[in-house]
Amino acid sequence: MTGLGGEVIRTLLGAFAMALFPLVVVVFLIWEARKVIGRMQDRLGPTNAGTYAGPFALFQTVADGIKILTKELIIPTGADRGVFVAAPILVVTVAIAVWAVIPLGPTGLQVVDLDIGAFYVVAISALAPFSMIMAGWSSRNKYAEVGAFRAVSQIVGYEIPQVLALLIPVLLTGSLSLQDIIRAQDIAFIFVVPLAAFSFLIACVAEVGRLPFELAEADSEIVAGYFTEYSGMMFGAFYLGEFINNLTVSVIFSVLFLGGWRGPWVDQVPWLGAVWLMAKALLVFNVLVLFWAAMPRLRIDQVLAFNWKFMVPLGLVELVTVAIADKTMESLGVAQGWERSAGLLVANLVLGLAIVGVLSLVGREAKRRRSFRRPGVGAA
Amino acid sequence: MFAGQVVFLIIACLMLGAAVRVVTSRRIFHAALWLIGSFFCVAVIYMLLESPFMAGIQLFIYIGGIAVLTVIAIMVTKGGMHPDSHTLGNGWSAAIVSISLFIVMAWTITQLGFPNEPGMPVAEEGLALLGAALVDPGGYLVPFEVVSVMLMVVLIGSLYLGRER
Amino acid sequence: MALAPPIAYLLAPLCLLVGSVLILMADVTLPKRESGSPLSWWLALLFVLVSGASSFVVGRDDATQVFAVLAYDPFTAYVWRLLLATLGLVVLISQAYISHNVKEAGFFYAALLLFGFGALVLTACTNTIMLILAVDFLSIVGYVLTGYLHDDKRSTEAALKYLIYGSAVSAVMAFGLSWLYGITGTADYELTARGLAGEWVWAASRTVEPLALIPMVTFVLAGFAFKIGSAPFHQWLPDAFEGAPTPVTASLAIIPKVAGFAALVRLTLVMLPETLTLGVWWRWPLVAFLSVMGMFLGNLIGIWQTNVKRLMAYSGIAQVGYALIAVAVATERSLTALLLYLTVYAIAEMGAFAAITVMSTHARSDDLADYRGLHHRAPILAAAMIISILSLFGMPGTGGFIGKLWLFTAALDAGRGWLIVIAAVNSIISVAYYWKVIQATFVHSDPEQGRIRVPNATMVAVTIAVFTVLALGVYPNVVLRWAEAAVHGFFQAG
Repeated sequence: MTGLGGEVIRTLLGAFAMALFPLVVVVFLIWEARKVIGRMQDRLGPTNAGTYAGPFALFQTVADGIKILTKELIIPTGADRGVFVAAPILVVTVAIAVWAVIPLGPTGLQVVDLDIGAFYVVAISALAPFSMIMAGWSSRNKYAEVGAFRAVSQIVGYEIPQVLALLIPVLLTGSLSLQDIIRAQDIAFIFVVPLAAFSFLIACVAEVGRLPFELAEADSEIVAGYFTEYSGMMFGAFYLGEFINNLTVSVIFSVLFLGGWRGPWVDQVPWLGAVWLMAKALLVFNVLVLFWAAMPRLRIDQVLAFNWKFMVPLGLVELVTVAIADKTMESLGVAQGWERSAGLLVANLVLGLAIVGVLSLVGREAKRRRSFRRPGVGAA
Repeated sequence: MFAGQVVFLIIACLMLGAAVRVVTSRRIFHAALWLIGSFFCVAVIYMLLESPFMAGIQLFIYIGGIAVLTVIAIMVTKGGMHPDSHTLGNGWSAAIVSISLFIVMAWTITQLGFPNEPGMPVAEEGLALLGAALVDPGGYLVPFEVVSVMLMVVLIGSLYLGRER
Repeated sequence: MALAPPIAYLLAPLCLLVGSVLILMADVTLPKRESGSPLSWWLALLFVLVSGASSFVVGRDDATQVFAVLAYDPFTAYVWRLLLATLGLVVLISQAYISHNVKEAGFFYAALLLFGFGALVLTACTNTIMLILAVDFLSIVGYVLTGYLHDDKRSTEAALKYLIYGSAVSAVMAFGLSWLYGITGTADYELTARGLAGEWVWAASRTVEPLALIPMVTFVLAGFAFKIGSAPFHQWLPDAFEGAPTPVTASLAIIPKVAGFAALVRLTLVMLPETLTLGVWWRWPLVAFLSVMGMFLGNLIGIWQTNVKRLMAYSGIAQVGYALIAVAVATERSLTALLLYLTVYAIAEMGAFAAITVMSTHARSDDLADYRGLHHRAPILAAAMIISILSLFGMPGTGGFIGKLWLFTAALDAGRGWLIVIAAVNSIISVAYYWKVIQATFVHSDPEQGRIRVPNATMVAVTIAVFTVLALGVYPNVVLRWAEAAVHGFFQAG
């Protein structure tokens, strides 16, 4: 009985620590992102000139957090109070719930190693659109509503290529457990199935609504999208939830395609796994930040057309190709090791070339049609 | 065992409460949200039954799929976003039907008698068994394939019926 | 005798599936011709024929379980051929109507073939999961086909009513089946029957009180009643019939009913045999009640109809009522009679609907008043209409008479005389509305209206239907022998 009790307490403590972990990390990631974007835009970003934000303004986010906590919470008159207040809570809850299955290290450094870990990630993130719908609906604001519509159509759509790409590591590993997926990556999957990694990354960027997919909160069009009416700490919750989601997808990408906690000396010092994982995640996170700083915003129809006409077919073709290539190699007796990886890589590269070829053909055709049409329009 | 029962009771009460709110909410959007709450409680009950996969399916299909669809349908329906749009047209007859259904089910359950044996052991590798059953010719291969054809029909059919004319 | 590989038994449905996919692809890739693209029509016809032919590849008396959820036996083979013949006739009569009314013909024919596919699968199921899937498959294709004229509000409304009613009823049916699954722990018909008999349940100490499950099997029966269009689950039927494109009405009137009856017969005989208390209850109050309801409601409401399609809907409800007598009795003889009856019904309905389709293409209306003077405007159609109606009524000399005769005598043998009395009374009531059709087509005349050109394809269909109905009336022995062979397998083992 005491064993069981100890187990329960250990799990609860682990869950608590794991829930705090992203919150703490994100505080510094926000600072980092602001610095990087500042440099990209030829600015300095946050500095400590005239304030007490610490060296390099490292604690700027903490100061912002304290400021935001002290601000008044304004709930619009027409708003639906219950739903309005519940939405930001849900955002943060969902963002943190995913962390329950993320393995920070080979053993122990994980709340629970579900044998359906990868599926759990997908299932939990299926809850995310609701916070946006709830926020958009309860605000009684047309910008909020438009933002919610955009967010939902985008997230629901990009979930499909995301899941299709996620299936490929699962297929190569033969398990849904994230630990097993990491253990199977003697060669990181990004070098085995680069196309899957590519489409997973794109889908993730769209899922978290980072530029160039930042339509749900496009500030030049619809104020701030679904959280237009939020202020104070409730706005803070959305802001925080968004950054946690960025971090989460970076971590998941690292787990699925970059080998997770694997790295030198992890066998001797297990907690080093967490460092490796966070380093990899930071790398991916910075890719997202660079997107953010460098890309213009797309239109909603472009975003949706890109998903349904390119990402989803790409995901399907990639899945079928990998499955066939893998099975063929297995029947040829190449079931393991680097030969298998090399074979899959070749299959991926061939597929990638084929896709580029098809796209350039389609592009040429479209250009030809446009040039046909143009004189006609001019004449009319 | 006792703790499990307490948790079950709490979750069951939450689920029932959410379900009651689904039918009593005056705004249809609230009804949809309560429905999601009810679905979520079902997922928790699956977790209590040590079936995380079913819980995931519940979240993924019912909340991520069906509920999202419901909410979108409400959002795009004229007047669906406004208060008091949840008109209880035939409240009494619906009540009679559901109460009689409840009585029938309760009666049936009391008639069936429950087994005395402890529950069946959870199969090791249950997920693998489930996956194999879906693609095994001696299992559910044909239904699985028929479903895929059905989804194709649904997709093309709804595109055809719903497109601008 | 050696059995063919399992896939060979599924050739017929697979052909339809391949056909529909090919039609869709041809529709997307090949350039459109102006006149309604008859290519997809030819493809549809071709694949129905190929599918029919493929059912002769395997041995005649083979009976086997295919992939654990479907059964191929002479019964399946018989119903498959009947369904495919009907499907072929539907394709024949749709050509003129569809090229007249619909821009995108390709998907229509693809959906029609898929409708056939669903019906074939439904006929063969021996597993409750497969059953619920097949029922839903057939319904979903049905919704699409019913709403196919999406410029027409009536068509959309009909599809919507069908959809709402259908999804509610299939939910109820799935609910009932889930209880049976939960109690017996299996979805297979035969194992369910053993479980219900107390032989094989997942927990040995569980007792199953048979009467407790009566509400659940009632739910299952409700699903069947919806699918075969039996009262009191018929409310969707007249509206769907009226709003749907007429060739779709024809297929709705026949294909789901025939397939639904086949599935019902298999479920009744295999999953709920007479040795079970539940099986006895299933036959006697439940199915018999449906039968009586169907006969009375269909015939009585039918009297007031002035729209031909609605009238045919009520006529169909009544016909299903008659046919359900055979299921309520469920002896070898009655089921032979049922197959014969369904065959005659299907062919006669095809004859009538061939005429109705031409009329709704031509007059753009299905009002009975527009049928005045049909006998000199289009003598062939008038003749087809009359013969079909007489057969549906059961006039001696047509196939309908033989069907009813066999049905009634089989029920009499089994000691259900009172059902026969009700059926006879109802046959007399039905004269009232069948006469209205005859009156409209033959008695009145309207010399101002010109002749109606009958499309060639329809002509072929009409000829086949009329000839078959008359031939079955005179010499039913061949079909009867097939039907006997088809049903025999069920009663051999027990």
